[in-house]
Amino acid sequence: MKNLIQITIIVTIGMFLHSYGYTQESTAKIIINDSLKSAIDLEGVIIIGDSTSSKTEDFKSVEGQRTDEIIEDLQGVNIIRRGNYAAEPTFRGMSSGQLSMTIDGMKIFGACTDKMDPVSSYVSSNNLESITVSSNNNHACQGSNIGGGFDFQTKQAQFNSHKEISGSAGIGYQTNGNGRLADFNVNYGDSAWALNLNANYQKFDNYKAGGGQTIKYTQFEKVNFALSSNWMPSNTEILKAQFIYDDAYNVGYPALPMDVSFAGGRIYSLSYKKYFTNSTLFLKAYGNNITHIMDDTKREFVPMHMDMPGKSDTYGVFAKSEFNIGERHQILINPDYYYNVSFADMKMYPNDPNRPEEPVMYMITWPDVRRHSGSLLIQDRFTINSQTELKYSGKIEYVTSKIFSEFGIQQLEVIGKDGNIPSTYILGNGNAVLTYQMNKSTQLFGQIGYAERQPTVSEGFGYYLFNSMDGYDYIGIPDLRKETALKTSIGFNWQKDKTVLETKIYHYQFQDYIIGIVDSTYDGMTIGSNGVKVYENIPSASISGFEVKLNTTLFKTVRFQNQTQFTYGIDHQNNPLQMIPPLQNASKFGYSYKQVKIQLEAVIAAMQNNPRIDAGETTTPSYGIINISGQAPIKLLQQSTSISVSINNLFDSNYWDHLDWNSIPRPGRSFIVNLRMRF
Amino acid sequence: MKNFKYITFLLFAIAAFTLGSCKKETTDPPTPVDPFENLTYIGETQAVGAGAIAKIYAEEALFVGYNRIYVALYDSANPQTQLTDGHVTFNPMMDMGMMQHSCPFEDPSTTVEPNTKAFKGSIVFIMPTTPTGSWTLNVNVHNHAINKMGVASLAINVVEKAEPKLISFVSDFDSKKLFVTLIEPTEPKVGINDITFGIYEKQSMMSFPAVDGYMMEMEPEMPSMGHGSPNNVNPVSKGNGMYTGAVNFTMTGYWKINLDFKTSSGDTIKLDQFFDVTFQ
Ligand SMILES: [Cu+2]
Ligand SMILES: [Cu+2]
Repeated sequence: MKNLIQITIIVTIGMFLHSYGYTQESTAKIIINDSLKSAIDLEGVIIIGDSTSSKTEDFKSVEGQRTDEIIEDLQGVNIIRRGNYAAEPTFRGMSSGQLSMTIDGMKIFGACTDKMDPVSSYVSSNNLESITVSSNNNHACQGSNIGGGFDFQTKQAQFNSHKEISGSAGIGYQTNGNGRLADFNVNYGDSAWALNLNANYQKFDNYKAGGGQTIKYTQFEKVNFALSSNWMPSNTEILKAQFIYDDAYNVGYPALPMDVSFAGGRIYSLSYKKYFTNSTLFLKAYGNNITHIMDDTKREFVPMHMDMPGKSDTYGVFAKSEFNIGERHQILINPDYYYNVSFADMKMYPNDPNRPEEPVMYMITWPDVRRHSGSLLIQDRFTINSQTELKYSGKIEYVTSKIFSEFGIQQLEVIGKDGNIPSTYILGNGNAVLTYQMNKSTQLFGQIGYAERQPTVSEGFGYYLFNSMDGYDYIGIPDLRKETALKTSIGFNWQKDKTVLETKIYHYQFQDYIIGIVDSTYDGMTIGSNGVKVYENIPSASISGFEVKLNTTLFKTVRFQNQTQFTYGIDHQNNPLQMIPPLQNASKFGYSYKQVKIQLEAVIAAMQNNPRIDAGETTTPSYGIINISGQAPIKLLQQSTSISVSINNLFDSNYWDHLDWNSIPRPGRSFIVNLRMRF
Repeated sequence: MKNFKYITFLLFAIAAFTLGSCKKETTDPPTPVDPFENLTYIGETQAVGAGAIAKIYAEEALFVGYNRIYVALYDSANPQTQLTDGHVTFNPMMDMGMMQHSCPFEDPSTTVEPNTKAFKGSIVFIMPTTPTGSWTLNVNVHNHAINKMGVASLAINVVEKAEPKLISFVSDFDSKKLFVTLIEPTEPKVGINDITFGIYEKQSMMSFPAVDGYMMEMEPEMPSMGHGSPNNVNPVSKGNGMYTGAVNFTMTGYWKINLDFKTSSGDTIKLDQFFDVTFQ
């Protein structure tokens, strides 16, 4: 009897889940996959209030796309580009400390004081299963933050008793930048045990901007391996282990004075999930070690060579338990703990021929900051009636950070701060989303939340961190106040047949917004810097905007998607905030016949004439680009093989986005060919 | 087969978790007890007539600039016995053949240091030992135990440091010949450093009194990067020719400490003087 219940549970769960491209068998099978989302699955896009989860399969019309290119397609998301590699995602004009970034729920903090290594860079596109973007910071065990966050879910090993070995392999070439791409995925799975190995390799030279100008320092080389293993010791339990190995070499950052000789991530976890009749329990322990080495030895003209290594180690554990109370309440309890160590330093090599004996200069930019965070999140998904659901949650977090470098403490004395005192924050977060199913096709939602965040390591402890956007050196302040925000959003989703319309309006009202303010009592450290900015809390700021997305069918055979987003941000003196994207519109036309797919994409961005001047921003002209791609199956070596060809930036426009640092033009026209075999 | 799979799985999990680094801690050896352990032995000689042997120590080999000098007295009849009741004065002399001169100095206090039981004073050597000029340190000793006086004369060697600790100039205001020494920090570090200068006037070949009451404006600079540092405190006169303030270094390396000297009423004595400070 008990077994029967368990089997039923598993079958039910299996029914909810997608099977993936490489499990093409038509015979019914049970696929247990952990990324269970009890929500409306809409063409792979899941919407729960003000959050979106996208299966990458649905976005990847083109094989061989890079992770940051996939992210950029998501609603409300823009990327800050400093080079051709690892762009930093922003959501509704918020970035870094205001967003939490996790991979499979694991907290990872970059090791780069210049934000060259966003968390997304450690997941290769062919290992990315889905991305959840949520404006609700309490959602899905993310850290306390203001703007919500991204969770990147990676591919998991698949149980499959009918076909034990399956996988795919692809090679690609991109003309602009001489890009060479290769990847493969092998899955071994039986009914209780599964192992998945994923690999991805990319190498790019400098690309040419529209018009033919070569953009120096846009090269990079990257290799990523991911190994995951699932084991079902019993019908109701899954044990999972995961290891991601990511290395990038010789990565150019044209918008910065330095490049990266090496960036590496080692990410590992062990998790356990148990299904009970009416509840689930999930436990996860993880760790990650991120290394980042910046240098400028490949640059032609530098006043003085420097190298800046950084490291970030994070270890954490969390649990999630979901259970029902009565018919109407689904409770989630999520205790979470993590520990992070951030260290970065800097050596400057003097080159005065008259003083050959002059020693190397040394300073610490992140002074061995060790941060402990413990939090508890409780959420109730309350089904008020068949049409109305209220999801409300509260989270309390205690974070304490302390400097462990004596040298770093001494450095802080210079700016008049006592680095011996730990900086401690108690952060409270609350959120409520009301969703109302007006009728079969219309769903309304309203969300209100209050959020608090602690300063980032750079904002709290950074020491003369050069920002090449505004040309200032930044100094962090250990006793900054926490940043807080009141956030609201409302929207509706309308769905009929194959047409979906999604609209959201949002507003974030910040208090004690953290921003760098010029302090002329300090002298810039970096050669040629404009001076020093010190992180401060300004009394208030706000960000508001809207997102509209339409997904429909034209002429019966063409899928059409149009996505519009707009963000507006001002500080307490009504000056524009920095890194706020302009009005953007993206249209996609997709045609598919049998297994042939053709897609046309048009992206338009309005001019941004509202720059934050003192952040080094300038107005950005509007731009429009067109991308075309097509994919068709071919028969090769008795295997299922497909070829895809695409042209990016068809008209070879010379353009850059407002969020591209120092207005470095993006790639011009590029032809991409990709050959993929599945087995 | 099944076992093999589970073992692989576990190995994989274990391997992943052991990738986290572990750190080993080392402990420092116990601190030494010899009171002269941290000092440099300069030499020793009989204080003829005082029934005492004078052993001279300094913080490092004698150099051009401000040297702290320790004189430990021992009973000549009983060289194991350190004498602590006495009174010591200095008279450093340079012999350049044609002429002789002294330098600024501060006589030791009449009481001994608690740790070394030595008499501690200071001497500001104004030039190094050269083939044509040699320094003699004359130490006048009054041995209270037997109430006898005598002089200990020791030939010493004074070197010029690669990074000079002494500058001299003629005052633009009153043509006084002035010597300025950088006394502290002896071990500069990143962060706040107490900084001490000594200022002396050359009145004659034998007389170099301390000068008080000047104003100093100080600006540290990193010439190879073209930056300074915040929150420095200009040195102020503390008596006995000493001027103390605070200098901040934001990083290790080569720093230049720029100095302007003015009288208390603001008249310019000398501008654009500097000391080099290099540390790692
Ligand atoms: Cu970096
Ligand atoms: Cu410097």
